[in-house]
Amino acid sequence: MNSSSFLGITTFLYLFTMALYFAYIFYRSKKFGLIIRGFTIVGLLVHTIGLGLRWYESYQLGYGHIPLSNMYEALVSMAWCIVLVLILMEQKFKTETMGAFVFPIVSIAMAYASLAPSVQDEIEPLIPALQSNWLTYHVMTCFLGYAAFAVSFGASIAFLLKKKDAPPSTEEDAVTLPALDLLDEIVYKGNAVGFLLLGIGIITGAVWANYAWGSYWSWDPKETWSLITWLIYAAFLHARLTRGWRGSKTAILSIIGFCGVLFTFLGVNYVLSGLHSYA
Amino acid sequence: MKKSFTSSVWSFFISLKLTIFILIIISIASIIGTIIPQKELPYVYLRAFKPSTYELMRLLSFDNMYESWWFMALLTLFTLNLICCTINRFPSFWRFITQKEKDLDDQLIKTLPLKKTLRLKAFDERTRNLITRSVQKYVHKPTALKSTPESFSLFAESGKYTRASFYVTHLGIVLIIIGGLLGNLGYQGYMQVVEGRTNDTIRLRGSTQEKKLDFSIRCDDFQVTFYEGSQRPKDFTSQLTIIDGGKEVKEKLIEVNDPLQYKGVFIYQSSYGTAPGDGQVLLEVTPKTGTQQAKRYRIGVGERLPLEDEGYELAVKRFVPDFSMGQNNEVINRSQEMRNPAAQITLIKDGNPVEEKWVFANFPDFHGGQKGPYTFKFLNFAGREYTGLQLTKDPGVWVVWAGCFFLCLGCYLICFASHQRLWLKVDPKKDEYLLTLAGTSSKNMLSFTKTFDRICLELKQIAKA
Repeated sequence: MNSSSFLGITTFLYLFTMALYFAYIFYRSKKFGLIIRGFTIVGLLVHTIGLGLRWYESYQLGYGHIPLSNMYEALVSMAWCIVLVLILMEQKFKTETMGAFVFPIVSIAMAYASLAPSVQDEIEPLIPALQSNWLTYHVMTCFLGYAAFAVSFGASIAFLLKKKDAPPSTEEDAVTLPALDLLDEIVYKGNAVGFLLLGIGIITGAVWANYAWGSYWSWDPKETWSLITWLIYAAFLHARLTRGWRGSKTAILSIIGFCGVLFTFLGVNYVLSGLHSYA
Repeated sequence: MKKSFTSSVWSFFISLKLTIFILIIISIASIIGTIIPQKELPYVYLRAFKPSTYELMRLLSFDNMYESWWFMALLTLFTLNLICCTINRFPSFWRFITQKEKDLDDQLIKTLPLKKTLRLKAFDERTRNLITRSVQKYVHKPTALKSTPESFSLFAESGKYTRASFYVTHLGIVLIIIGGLLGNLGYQGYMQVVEGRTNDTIRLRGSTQEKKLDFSIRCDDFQVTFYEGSQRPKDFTSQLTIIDGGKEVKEKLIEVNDPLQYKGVFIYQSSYGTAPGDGQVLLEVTPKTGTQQAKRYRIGVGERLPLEDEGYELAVKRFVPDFSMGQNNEVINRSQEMRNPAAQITLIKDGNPVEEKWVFANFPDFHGGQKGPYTFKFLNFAGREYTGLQLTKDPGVWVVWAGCFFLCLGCYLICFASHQRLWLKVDPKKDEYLLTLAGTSSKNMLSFTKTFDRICLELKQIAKA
């Protein structure tokens, strides 16, 4: 078995988990929640083995680099980060229901990585500019930040749907979708963590660029768009912390922010060109 | 009453609307900058835009937007706005920090989100200590506001100074912008150094201007390695020596991701290539008569070499990678690419030139004006490798890093640290005592509520005992 087969299994596991999450909205029970958690963790384990094997295979090919260097690897690692952050958030907030809104993103990322003809899944050597430990620090902080934004996005959608569907009721609903206050808190926490991580990601990128190219900021499209995304989330935090916005308003800001994330992560690569054109 | 000029300027600079307006303008400008290519040569724009549009774009610096006066002005305005807002908020912040906490009275308790009342059967020194200790376990060392045998009140808080975290964040942003503006005092440029040669002039980025450095750089060796079985470069390195005032002062093997620093200038490995017009020409020389075999000679441009026949020498006078003829039949070089490599060679006998001609790599059988005793074939040209270096001097970079540090610290404090306050009082009521606990947190109420509940639970046990 090579890394591709493990990652293939991961994709199917995730699609199945997504279906379970959907079912969970209608057939709620504590036991079912635990089963879903189990599948999510097994999926993440297989995913981790797949990524680890791919890393190992790159050494066998004589390249030896962390799987973060092209679109395929970026998508698969991104999905990994989202599932990891989702599990951590579910653990912290003791709820299983944002998954139904986060897993579609994960499944689309995995399926797109393996099916889209424009995404090459060969292991390629690294160009000299990328041969640095900063690659790991920079990309991982950015990806974990994006993942936190993705979980917040899922919670924002859940919040808006719940608010629209059910007028505030109590205990009974708490099993299907987390209570509104809890969702609001998850939206805020995820975005706060993402904001900090994306900030650190931009800064580690600046430090690295200064070391590799001699300029910490060159208004490259990806840099510029990540800054714009960061500013949208800065607006989110200001609205919530200084203006006291809560609920639907901040949920909508959070969704706008995630559109920025998607454009920074994918759009820039397909629409614009620049220093980051390799991933 | 009419507002004075200074106060209206002040209220302009402290308005949040101005902040939002500037941020939106900066965002739109940045987006335009990612769509229109920046710092390109005119022909790139003229391919996409009409000349009149291009003129207008140049007038508004749309081709170099991020360094334009108006972008700098926007950043400066944003910085001023941020500084003014921060100053404006300072007095109320300072009052808050320095104020003494009031006793928990009825008015205060109304404003607090968390409150709980318990009944105590008895109240003595021991209960007082137990209560103080259980509060201390979760919040911070409490200060007793009032303590008499009959009544008791205390206040505890933690993370008071995290209220300053937005100052830390804004300081970080201001420092980053100041550092960025300081960076304009530096420069960024590019130079090529042929192996074994020395260079001291850079071409400034985004212009055709040149700048002479106050030191020079010699490239002693350049190496490039490739991934096995492919043309992808794995690594390239240059052994550089800095020469300042005629003396060799510093040397280093630089590679991508590992620059050399001298006098505040960073020297980066940026690219490489072969330098045409500075290398060796491989020639095949065949005598026209006799039985002698063809011989091959490798001659550097500008050098001469004796042939095996007595008395003859061969010199390579000039090499051009892309040979062409000008209007007056003069030789011109059209580009730096090896499209039509040609060498001008001279045959010399006993010190006197006897034949001078051009030979072409793409047309080996071209023998225009052949009169000497040999035919010449231009087989190959091996140019010398040059290393492409990028040089950067940025006096603001450390200010930017300091700003980044404060920005991260501030964001961390804003998102994850909170100012938690807790009041507690015990008052006699009829034959028992009433214990009131109330608290609030500047952020993260959810987790503070848990702490509050835990304290309540402990106090309940104390009350029972």
